[in-house]
Amino acid sequence: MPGTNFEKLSVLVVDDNPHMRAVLRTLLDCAGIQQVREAADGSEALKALGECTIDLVLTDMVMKPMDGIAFTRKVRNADGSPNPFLPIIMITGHADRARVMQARDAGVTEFLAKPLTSRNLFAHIAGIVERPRSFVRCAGYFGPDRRRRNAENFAGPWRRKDDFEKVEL
Amino acid sequence: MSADPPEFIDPDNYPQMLDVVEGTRMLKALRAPAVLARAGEAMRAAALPIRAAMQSYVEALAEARGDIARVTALAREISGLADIAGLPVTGRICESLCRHMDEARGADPAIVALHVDAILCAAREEPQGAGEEVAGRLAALVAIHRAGP
Repeated sequence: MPGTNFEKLSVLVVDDNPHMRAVLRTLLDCAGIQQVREAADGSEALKALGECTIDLVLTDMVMKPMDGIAFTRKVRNADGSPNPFLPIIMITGHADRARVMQARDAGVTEFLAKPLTSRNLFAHIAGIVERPRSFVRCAGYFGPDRRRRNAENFAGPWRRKDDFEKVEL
Repeated sequence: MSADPPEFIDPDNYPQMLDVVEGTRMLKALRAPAVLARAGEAMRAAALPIRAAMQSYVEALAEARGDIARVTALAREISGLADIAGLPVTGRICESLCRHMDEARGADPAIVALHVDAILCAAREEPQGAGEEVAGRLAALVAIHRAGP
């Protein structure tokens, strides 16, 4: 929310474990962020998004009935989503490649693999502020640009619109 | 017929969490040594209550042995808390168990039982136990099982 003091940011913490929610709330408080709402799963989180303005989401991946992946898809794609551009940091211990890809394809902004540390968490939040990502809308996907690196010597095949800006003729 | 080209929306063209001035203030705060020290202290203070909570999950795990769904759910809970509780080896064994539970060809009850035993030992005896070695061996066992015959 431009113009807002960062201390007034509203953060939604989504985790089925109340102890983890408490730890995240405490860490945010240490950074000066005191407006923290909690939800125990994706469906509670969606309800919270409909009730108040949320600026940032920290979510677990594995939850019931609605997990973090389904929640992220709803935020990005559902008709009437309060903010499809909402920054979403997914925090999980299940960081195998398949799950990371699943989270990426759902549209998460950042993926934080446990163990959770204050440095890790703050670095990911800082990343969202410092390096906001372009969003992409294409067939079957809406969310942050999934390319995190530009390979210097990549010679094709070219697939995306801005790839053409890199080609020297 | 070609598909519609992708649409790129630059950060300047969608609402940001903060404007530049507040973003800069926030970055300074997130990197301030005093803030990091306070947060580190808060994490250390959380270890004891988290460990107590984790132990209740561990006791539940001991009773849930035959119930695969419950074992999986408890292993995920323990795994999420173990590092904060200062029991990283317990966390590693839980992660290994969760990986095994996720296998498409189904979990091997013997491997599950080995993990549960190891979790109970690690959570109750650390740091005295030889948990690190056990965690490594179990992870290797899960990898072998995953690779198949």
